[in-house]
Amino acid sequence: MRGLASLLAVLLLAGCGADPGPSTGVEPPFALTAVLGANADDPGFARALAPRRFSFPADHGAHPEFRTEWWYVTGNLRANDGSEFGYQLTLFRYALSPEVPASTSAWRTNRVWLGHVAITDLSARSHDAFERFSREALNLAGSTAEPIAIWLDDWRIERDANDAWHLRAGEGGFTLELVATPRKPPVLQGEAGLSRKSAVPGNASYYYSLPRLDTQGTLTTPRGEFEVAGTSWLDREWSTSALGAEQTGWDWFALQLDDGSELMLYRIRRADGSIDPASAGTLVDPTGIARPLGASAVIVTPTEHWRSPNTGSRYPIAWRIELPSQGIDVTVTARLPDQEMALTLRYWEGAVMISGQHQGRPVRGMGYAELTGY
Amino acid sequence: MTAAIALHRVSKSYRNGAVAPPVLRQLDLEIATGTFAVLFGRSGSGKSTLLNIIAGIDPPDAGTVRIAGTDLGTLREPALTLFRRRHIGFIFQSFNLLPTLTVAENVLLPLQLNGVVRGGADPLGARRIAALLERLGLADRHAAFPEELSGGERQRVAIARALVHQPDVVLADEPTGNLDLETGRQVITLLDDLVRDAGVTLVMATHSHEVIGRADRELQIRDGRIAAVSR
Amino acid sequence: MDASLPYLASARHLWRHPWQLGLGVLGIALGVAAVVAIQTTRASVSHAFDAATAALAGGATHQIIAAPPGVDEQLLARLRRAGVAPRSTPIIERTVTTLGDAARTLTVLGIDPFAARGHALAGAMPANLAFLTRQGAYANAATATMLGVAPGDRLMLGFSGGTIALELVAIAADTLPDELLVVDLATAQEAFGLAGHLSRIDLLLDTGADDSAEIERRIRALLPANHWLVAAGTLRATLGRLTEAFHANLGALGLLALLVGLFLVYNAQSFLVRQRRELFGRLRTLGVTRAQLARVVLFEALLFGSGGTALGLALGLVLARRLLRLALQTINDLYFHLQVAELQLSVPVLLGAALLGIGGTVLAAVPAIVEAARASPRQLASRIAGERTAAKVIRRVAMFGALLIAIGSATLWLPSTSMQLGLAALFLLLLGGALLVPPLVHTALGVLQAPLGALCGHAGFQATRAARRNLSRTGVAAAALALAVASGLGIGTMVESFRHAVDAWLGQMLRADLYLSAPGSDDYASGGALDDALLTALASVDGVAGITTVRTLTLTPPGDVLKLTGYELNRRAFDGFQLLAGDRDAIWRRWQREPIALASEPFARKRRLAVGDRINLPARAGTLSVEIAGIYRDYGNGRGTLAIDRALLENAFGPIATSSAGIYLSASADLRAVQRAIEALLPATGLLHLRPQQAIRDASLQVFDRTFLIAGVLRDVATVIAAIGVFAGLLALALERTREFATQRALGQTRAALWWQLMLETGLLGLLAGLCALPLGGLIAIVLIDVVNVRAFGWTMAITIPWPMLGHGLLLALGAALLAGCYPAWRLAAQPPAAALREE
Repeated sequence: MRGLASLLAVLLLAGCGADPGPSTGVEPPFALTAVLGANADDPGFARALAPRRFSFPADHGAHPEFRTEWWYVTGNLRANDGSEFGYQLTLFRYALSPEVPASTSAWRTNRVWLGHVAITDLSARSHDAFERFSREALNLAGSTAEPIAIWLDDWRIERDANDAWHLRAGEGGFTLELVATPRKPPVLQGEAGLSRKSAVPGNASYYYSLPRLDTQGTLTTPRGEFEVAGTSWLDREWSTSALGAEQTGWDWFALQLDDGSELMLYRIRRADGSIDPASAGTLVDPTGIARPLGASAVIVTPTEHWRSPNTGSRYPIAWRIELPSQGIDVTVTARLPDQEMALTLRYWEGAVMISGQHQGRPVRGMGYAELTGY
Repeated sequence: MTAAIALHRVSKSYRNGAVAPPVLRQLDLEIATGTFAVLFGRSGSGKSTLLNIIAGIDPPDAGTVRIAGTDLGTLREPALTLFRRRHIGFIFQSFNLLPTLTVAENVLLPLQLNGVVRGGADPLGARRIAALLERLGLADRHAAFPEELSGGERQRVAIARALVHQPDVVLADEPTGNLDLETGRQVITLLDDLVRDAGVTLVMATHSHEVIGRADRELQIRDGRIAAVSR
Repeated sequence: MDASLPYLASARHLWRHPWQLGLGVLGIALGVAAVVAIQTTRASVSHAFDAATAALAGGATHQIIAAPPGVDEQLLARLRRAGVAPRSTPIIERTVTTLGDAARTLTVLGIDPFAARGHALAGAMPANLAFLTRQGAYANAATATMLGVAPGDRLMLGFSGGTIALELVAIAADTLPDELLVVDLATAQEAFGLAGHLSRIDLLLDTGADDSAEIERRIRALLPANHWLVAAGTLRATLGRLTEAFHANLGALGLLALLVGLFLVYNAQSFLVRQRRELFGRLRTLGVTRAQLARVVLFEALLFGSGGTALGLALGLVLARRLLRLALQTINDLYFHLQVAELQLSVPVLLGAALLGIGGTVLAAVPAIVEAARASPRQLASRIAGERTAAKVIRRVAMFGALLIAIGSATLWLPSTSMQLGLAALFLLLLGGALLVPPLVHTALGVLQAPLGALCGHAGFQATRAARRNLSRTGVAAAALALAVASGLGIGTMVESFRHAVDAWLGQMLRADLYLSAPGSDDYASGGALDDALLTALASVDGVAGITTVRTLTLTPPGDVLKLTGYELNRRAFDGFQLLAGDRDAIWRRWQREPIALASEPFARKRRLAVGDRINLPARAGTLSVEIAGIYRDYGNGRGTLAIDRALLENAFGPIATSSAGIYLSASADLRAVQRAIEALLPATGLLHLRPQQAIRDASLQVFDRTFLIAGVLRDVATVIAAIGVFAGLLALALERTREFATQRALGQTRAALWWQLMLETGLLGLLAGLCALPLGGLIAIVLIDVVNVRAFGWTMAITIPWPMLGHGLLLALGAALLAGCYPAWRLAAQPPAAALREE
């Protein structure tokens, strides 16, 4: 579960496009209530109540009957000259209402899209992030099933017939054009793809990942154009649930170890400082077999923090992560402290590196972490 | 010894419409330093014109004017003005005090213009002015404005102003013309005393026979020339 | 260091004559105030206008606009997907009116809040997106108050295509412009029936980027036919001409204020210098050099100038505040809403006024300095010599004035259409004319001397003599007075002539007995409240002999605004066109058969079109080419109008809502009865207005009068300021001559005789200045009508002489002068002559 997605609803309802600041006037929760009001549990939307049968490639495409859905790609790349990069390309879909309203205007729609792109240039020690909004109208943004394609303006995620994912996005002197090919089949997260967010039935999402995609392509930054290669992670999730009021933030990790295994973890932080029991994770072995992990199976201890000079927020940037039952004891460190997404919605999303032990053997790796609610 | 005043073939006329009747015709005149000369003649005979030409206020049409050896014709503005304020003192029939300056300030003005004193609070200037005003019997009037003075007092202020910067030549244009006989007599006596003490050359235009009697030289002006020169 | 006593002597002189000093400084202050007031008002109005249009443009750098029916909405996605314009906001903008009698005009702006990032209007969006609902709208608090609605309330509004219903869902930040309702783009398309099209796309391009030219080229390559990429300023500048009538007016007034101010400042300062000639003469005799004296005078001029300017700036701003309120009221009533009531302190205006005040004062001291420097001390001390030089100066001034008039006339004859050049010529002519006033008055007084002497005896003789002798001091004041009165007369004559012409034009143009009109005439919309069904029903009303209709369409190709009017005419209505060129019968024969058009006079003049020329218009598909068959008189639109047949218009641009219909009655019909019958047919929305011909005519003239109300007020302000300035100048002179009058009194002149002489003297001066103002005013009127108006708007008119106004002008000049004589006369009467004589 990516914490950012839950905040998306707040953001859209709080006046997307408005610059954040005192002029916004209305606090997000009020705006949320004002608009969602009674239809917060709009019966018109489908809900994730029970495990479902996933069908690929169809499920790579959109599920408009749910309120929210996203395609979330992150990865670590390396250029021929030794330059190293992290990248993120995210497209969110959000439905304001279950049905498409009838209208003479092509602009009348119930769907809006949000896109985020970020590039971390580890050699230049810089991190740049961009966002876009659009309604799903007039081909400005949307998705198609055949071929599977998702886009917002000229930002695009498209899967070809050979199961290769083509990513293209850019703004302000940065562009990425990558091809990512899965090395493992989709991993169904949680309970066969049903990821529960609390004890309340239906407060859950459908969630799967492509945990390891070989990636190559071209990255352009103000420093120049780079031929790059590396490893990516694709997360897919759709749901109709909202974040509980007592849940204040999320830490999410997607870790790719060099022994061929992957670890996904999310920790839901509560207002009282405790970790929500709905927190969970998955360990994927080199053959692609996934093992769900309960909240109690993982111990995450922040070991270092960084305070953003822009926003004053204090984020953890290094952790000790222990899974005693799996023989995992690793240190996860941000590859660059400042990977804060200073956008309309503020959070931290960045490349991390891993080193430690897995079943007694030394292990290293790369990954991505997302921190919200700080 | 150079004459204090030397005029050679000086002519002057004033244009009045189409005609320009001559006032001075090729006038020659020399006055030695320290001389008290009176200038008399009928009204309109050219006394004032002659004084103005000597003072350098009015340029002659022709001829040369030398004051203390300097040919005024060779001086242009502002040298002429600088020369005048250094070497000439002027006393007018109508006093011509600056109405907006006090007695002391009127007297101080030539000193300030000549750079003898800077500003108003110079002790040297103040002493000199105080002494001069004392001598002229104006000690208690130094802060008065001209309009608060009688005619005799005004003319005494004018005398102080004409002498304070120790000029070479003092020109007086009927200084008693606006005064009664007694006051006029006092003023002339004072002026005579001061001028002789300082060794200054004084040229005075007047009608008063009494004054004429006190002078070293009597110059009558007639038909634009010096007609009679006594002594 | 300079000797201080000359400064002290000079300053004490002024201190002892506080009236002269005060009046002098007041004169400078008034001159500065007139300029500051009018120019600040003008700058503030301009700024308010720019701010209003800029706010709607939302900080965009470029805009994509198109021929009707508008910008293809698919274009946005094409631009976005090509990656050339990530910051691009689709906009629909429409004018709507509130329903009912006191209809107010508002703007409805449809935007896509998701695409609007970076657009200034997005910043003012309320903190939720509830307005995305079908009829949701938001506005700022002031607008909601004006409309009398709170969140949750519904609003009915009219536009050219009918009525729309909106619901106010939120109050936006105050940064949102007033009288603006923002709705979702989809809502706007639905409400206005504009599916598929946008009014424009606002673009925020990085104009500083290296590839900006390349980006623009790539954008242009994506544009369909009749779509244009323009800099945001282009459209704003074009729309800016909406208020050009207003601006031209204020511009001319600002110019006149500048001139009058210049004369007032000059007058005041030269007075302050001249009255101390004698003092300066004595100082020179005592050995003060020319340079020293010049420094004293300059220093004082700087002092007066600064003091007067400071006072004038303050006074001018106070005045400007009042004028601005009036100006905004006029604009809001007539054009559109401008919310900025803030005084715009324009640095150039304030600096210019300060320069006028201080610089003018110093400059005015220059002649005195030159004179003091050139003259010998003996001449300086004598007033007569001064007056003699002054007479010489007057002759020189007359020659200079004549030269300026010659240059000004030559400038007018230049084959140019520049209004600025026209105003510059006017400036030269007026300056030249004003400079001729003193010589003219001088001559006139010379001529009048004998007859007045015969008529009024000694006083008459004495008065003319004195007036003439003192002209070196009063000449500038007289010129200022003449100029001010002439300005009033000139502008008055222009307005009067204009009104006369408009009245006559309306009389011929308005031929129908009744007019039925719909709101928002300039929008592109089909259907509408005045639809064909209603028109058919109207035609069958008993007593209706015929119906004509008007449809209007405004095209805005880059840098241009083209107003097209589609007429459905009968011969009677057609004869309402007052043709300036073209053959009426021949045009009527071709009217519904061929692609021909009638160009309004401004339209033809601005585009240099003559009968027989062709003009190409960007139409819905391709180009509409029409031949100019005739040119008609029109005062309705300064940008000009092209009149074509309705079918021609709709074939080229698609169906367009009827904006008004003229209803012709049969000879026997009863107007009242027909009016009642038609009113019964009208929808109950109150959207349509039925008015008889006379009411339209009256309303039009009322609008006209309101447009020129501000001009009238500004003109009066300038005139009053000039009158006060002249009063101050003459009063200063009279006070200065107190001693002269006291001498006359001492000599046995009676109080009454002296009073009479003084009145006669100032009265003569005022009257002569007033008389000089008549031809000068005529000159202003002619230049305004035949040059400035023609260049600014392109319309011509005959000059109508407003006789009563001429009388008023004369009376004003006379009154100001006589008033100036009153106080000194009273003072003389109250004071024993000895007091005035005592002074040394």
